[in-house]
Amino acid sequence: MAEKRDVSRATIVVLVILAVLISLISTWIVLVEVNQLSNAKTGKASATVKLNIQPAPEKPEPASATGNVVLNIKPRRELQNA
Amino acid sequence: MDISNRTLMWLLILAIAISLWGTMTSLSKLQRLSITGAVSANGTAQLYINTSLGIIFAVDTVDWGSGYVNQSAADWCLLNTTGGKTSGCAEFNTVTQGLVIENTGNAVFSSVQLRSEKNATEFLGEDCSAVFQWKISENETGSCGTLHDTSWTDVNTSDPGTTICENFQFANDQDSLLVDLQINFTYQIPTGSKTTQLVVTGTQ
Repeated sequence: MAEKRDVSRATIVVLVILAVLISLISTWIVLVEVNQLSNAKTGKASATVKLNIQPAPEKPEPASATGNVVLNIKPRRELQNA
Repeated sequence: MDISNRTLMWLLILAIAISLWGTMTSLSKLQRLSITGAVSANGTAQLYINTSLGIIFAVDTVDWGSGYVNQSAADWCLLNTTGGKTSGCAEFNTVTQGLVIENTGNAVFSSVQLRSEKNATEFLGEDCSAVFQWKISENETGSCGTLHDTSWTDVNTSDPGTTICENFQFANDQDSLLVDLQINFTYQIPTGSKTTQLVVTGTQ
């Protein structure tokens, strides 16, 4: 009776790599799903508060004008002579 | 004991099969958390309603507009969202509505945290008198189990913020909170546009 031929080492290596890849991908998919559920346990929103501060308007310069007041005070003596 | 490559191959195929089966089972159980319905033999209907969480700012902007400190009246200006506007505030809008937070989901938030992206100085500018405060109240009676910061309190910028409400309800007429805001500054405030954001986070 002929002895059964064993599987080659190359086949085993391919299967090991396949097993590791499937395991990693599966774990990643499950973790992503679980994460999505965890994220759903909080809610978040934001609002805005604003204003604009202007420089205060310049105070206008006070208006000014000049006027003359003139008078002439004469000596008393002249008044008497007159 | 030596194991032949053939035995190893079958063990690996078994490992792959178990890994795939485990993944499918996990995904299937996770998907059952969404809304599903099932009827059993005795006619009982079962409905699993997924928890929906939602929190929004139903009123999401406070805008005091543009203005300046009128030193002829006062050296300082206080504005708030309850209609407050002192004599030193020239040309700013009178705001009578604060921010409104609403629970739009179907679950109670065990806690609601509020934070500001900027404190008074960061928001308004370098002014030793700058003040930026909030005050929390129920917009609809019965919305919150325990309220915090119910008087004017300086805003908090640390993440995730101050807990302003514990047990925030979701019933339609009992699901909103009011956040009133108040600022104060003097004529020394740097001029320009000032903006900040408030962030609310609800945790189930």
